[in-house]
Amino acid sequence: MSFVAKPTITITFTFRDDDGKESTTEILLPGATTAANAITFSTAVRALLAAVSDATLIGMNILLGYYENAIGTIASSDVENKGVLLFNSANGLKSSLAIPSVLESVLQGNNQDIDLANADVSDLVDAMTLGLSSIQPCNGSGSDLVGVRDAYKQNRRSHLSGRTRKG
Amino acid sequence: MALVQRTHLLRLRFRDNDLAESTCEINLPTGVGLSSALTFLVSWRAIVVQVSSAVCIDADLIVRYIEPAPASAGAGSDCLRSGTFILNTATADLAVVRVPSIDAALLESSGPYAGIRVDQSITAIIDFVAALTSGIGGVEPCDPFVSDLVSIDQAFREQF
Repeated sequence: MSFVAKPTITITFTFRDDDGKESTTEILLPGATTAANAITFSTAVRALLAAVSDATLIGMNILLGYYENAIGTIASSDVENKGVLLFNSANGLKSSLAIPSVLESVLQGNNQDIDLANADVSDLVDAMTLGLSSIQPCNGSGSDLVGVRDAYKQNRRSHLSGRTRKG
Repeated sequence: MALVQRTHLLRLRFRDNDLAESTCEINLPTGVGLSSALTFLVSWRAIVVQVSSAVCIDADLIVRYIEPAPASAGAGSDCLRSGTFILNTATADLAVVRVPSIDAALLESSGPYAGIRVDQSITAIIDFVAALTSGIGGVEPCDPFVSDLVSIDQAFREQF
């Protein structure tokens, strides 16, 4: 197994029509394209797309990433068991992170609360609240995450989308 | 209208032994450079996988822009009708790019394909197809197998 760069960069444009219906279209760029060039290209194509559609272009996403190119046998796990970390943000709002299939070994004795003293959990909390290499995560409005308010296991549905679970 | 950048979204996708999948997401400030964000993504993933028993199969950085005050859509616009552009690739395959609610004024106005086939002599269409097949500023689109899009094969309006 190895985690490798995706072969393509995906640009997604979102349109809305006069009934409020929305639709997207995608254009792919080679993965070797620099992020800056991908943004320049996307901005230019956006104008050309807007010129050939009578719907309104309301958004644009550029997706770059990595993927596992050889997934081996997956150990017993359940992505619906989330490890939820609820953070306080600098702007007073709350922001949560839900980790699929949280390890039982990072839970406290009640099998519900996450053990914040666990070394791996502590590393994660530090990454979220102190950052890594001077880069600090934030909430959706751009405000720093400053501390953990709550951490617990919660069962939430997964992105199964039409498939049924085995067993 | 100008698009406004939102926070970068980092998304990890996990798969369990039932093949169910789920994601977790965090935001990074827009001021973080994209190469730095990608470096952070790799480091952050390594930390998150330490507390999950599922396998992380995907890690994405999504650079997001929104239109904060979109103009009104054209009367009669319909996202269920798209302009379907079928393109030849450098490896003799076909690739598709769809334009939601293609402007009906860009369709042929006479002949057997009136109202169906895209009029490829119209400047807006020529420019759009050139961007797909020749690229812009040295950046050329491709298909999922990283094969260049080289020419238009067919273009027509399609109802979903």
